[in-house]
Amino acid sequence: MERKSTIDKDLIKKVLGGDSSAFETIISNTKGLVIQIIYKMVKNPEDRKDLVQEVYLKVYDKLESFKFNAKLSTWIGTITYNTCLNYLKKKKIPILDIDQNEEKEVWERISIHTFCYSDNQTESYIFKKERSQILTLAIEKLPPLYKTLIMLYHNEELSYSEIKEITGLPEGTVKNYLYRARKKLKENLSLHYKKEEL
Amino acid sequence: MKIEHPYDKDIQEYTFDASNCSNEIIEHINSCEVCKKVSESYLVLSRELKSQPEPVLEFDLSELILDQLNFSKKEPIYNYLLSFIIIMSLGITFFAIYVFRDTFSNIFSANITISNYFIVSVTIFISLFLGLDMYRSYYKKINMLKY
Repeated sequence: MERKSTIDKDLIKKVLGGDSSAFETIISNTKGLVIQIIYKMVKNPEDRKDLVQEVYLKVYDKLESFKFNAKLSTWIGTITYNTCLNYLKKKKIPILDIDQNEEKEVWERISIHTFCYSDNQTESYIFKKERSQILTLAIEKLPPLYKTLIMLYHNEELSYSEIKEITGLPEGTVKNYLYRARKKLKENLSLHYKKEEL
Repeated sequence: MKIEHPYDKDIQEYTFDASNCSNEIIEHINSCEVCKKVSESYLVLSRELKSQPEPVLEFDLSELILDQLNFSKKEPIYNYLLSFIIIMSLGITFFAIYVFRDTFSNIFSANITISNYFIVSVTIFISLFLGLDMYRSYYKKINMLKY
């Protein structure tokens, strides 16, 4: 962490001194996270391209104000997330459309029925040949916030505190949304399976 | 062992965040085949998510961004210039106070108009630069909040 912070400091110093290759390094180090967030939150390919550029232009403009309170990548992740949030607000796309059952925090207990349903269906289904595509489709059905949280936790392997910093949500909320997102994803996969069975 | 199965949320907590899971739930899941399988199904899901291919851009992002950026930064020059002007104006003020110290000692006792004008102009001069600096830091803070 200490070493990473020193590397970040060096890179920022070089960029502020006018070194374009240092900024290129920042881009190549962080573009994976930036692209993942944008792709999970925004569907339109043209808008995605514009947003990626907007994020890095903002990063360049605000680099001087970076206070090293977090990792550079986390800070860039926050800028990306907020840029996407503004985009969704402008387009009037809800980031999370929670239905009433979820709002009431209903967590059904595991029953034999749930077990058969989730285990047999999800597990066997996911091992089919086209499982990656099916999973992509199931993820696509999730609201933008759930998709982003799933990706940050499972793909980028970020900690709860890093996700909290990027999204600005309290840690407890991040955990709760993640539980709901995984549950919903499992349900989506099961629904897909049911359709195929018919 | 508790016969009643835990909530789905608890099984997820056991699977991904066991350190925060209560002993009662850990004990139950460890000894319950049904819950264990649900936990395993979440692990399978997690593994599958990890192996999902990452999205790839069809264009060279670095090239596109660097083309739009002007790498001859003007900010540091502006900073140095502002600091230089502030230091110079402070220097001139103190030098003037030193040179006209006799006049200053009489300034409020004797009614010398030119000295009054001098004080007012220096005050305006300093206030102007302080105001400019305040505006700059305010703009910077607002920009930080905006991202």
